[in-house]
Amino acid sequence: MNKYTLTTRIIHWLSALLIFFMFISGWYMVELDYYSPWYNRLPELHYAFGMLLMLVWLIKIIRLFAGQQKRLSPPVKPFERILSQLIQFLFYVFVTALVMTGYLMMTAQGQPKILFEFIHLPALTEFSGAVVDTMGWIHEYGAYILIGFVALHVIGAVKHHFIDKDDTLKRMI
Amino acid sequence: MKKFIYYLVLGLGTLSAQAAEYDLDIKGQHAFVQFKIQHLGFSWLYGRFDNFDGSFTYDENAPEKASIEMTVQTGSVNSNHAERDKHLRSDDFLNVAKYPTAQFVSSSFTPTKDGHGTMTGDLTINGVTNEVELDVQFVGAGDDPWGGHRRGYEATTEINLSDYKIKRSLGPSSEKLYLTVSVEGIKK
Repeated sequence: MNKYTLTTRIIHWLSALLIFFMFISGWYMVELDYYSPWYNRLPELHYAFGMLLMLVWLIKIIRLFAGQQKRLSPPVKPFERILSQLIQFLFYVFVTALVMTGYLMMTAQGQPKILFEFIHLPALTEFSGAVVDTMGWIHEYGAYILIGFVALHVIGAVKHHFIDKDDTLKRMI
Repeated sequence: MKKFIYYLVLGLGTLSAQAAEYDLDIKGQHAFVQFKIQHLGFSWLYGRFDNFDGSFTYDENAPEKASIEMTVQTGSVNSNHAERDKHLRSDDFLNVAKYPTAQFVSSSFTPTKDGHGTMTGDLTINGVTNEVELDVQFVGAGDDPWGGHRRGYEATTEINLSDYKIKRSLGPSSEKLYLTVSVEGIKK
């Protein structure tokens, strides 16, 4: 069996873990009661792991353009290949949009954001309330759509593993 | 000539009997919509609305006829913290997307003394209208150095967030919001 390289696999599963955490924490933190001990902590974790995701994503994009992420051609129908490639392309678009809007909202005041007293994030620019609200809308609904794509991606992997019984999933493990 | 003086006096008399109209000095920004609310019962949080407009009328001979109308752009809420302001604009609090403005329209004024009094009117926030009474303190009036005539007041009131269907709870100490409207009007 022709596996993906170790680096590709690590980046894949790290991204998966981070995106999963980002979705759950983002969804949960806005519902927290003001008196919850997590009211300040969870958003700070969401921001910090979001920055980690941004770094991982940067590496992923660099590797993509550097040709380091060789696509293996799985034994799939053309339709499935187009669908899976489209979904993976949309991952790039949506995750990039989400980390960018997240970063810009964090620093919208025009002042650096400090996370856990040691991560200093410089403010690129200052934004008006209306722009921040638009970015918030993109961030929220973009996340729901992204998770929809993740679900399709997972369904595809599971289908290949259990129904087609091919190596698509195994090559990433 | 006598007739002319008669009409002149009559005319001036009519003019002075009319309530003078004042526009809030938005251009020079001598008007403020401020609020404070307790944080956890430990301290006061101050905020303001940056964009609003309005006008008032006042007649020295009939102060009970004084009236005011103000419209506040709720999206301009500013508590000097971008993330909190974003939260305040959301449907947890001001619901700016659905209700971009808050209004106050006076219905009656009860003068006390020295130009002070109580202004009653309808305050609309988050699409909910309630009658409120504002304690109005007259600050001063007169000619400004640039050829205009000005008159200023500071008014305060307390409102319960729940009366305006603001569903998000900030705890028992933070149910009441103290509103201060400080305005200077320029006579039209």
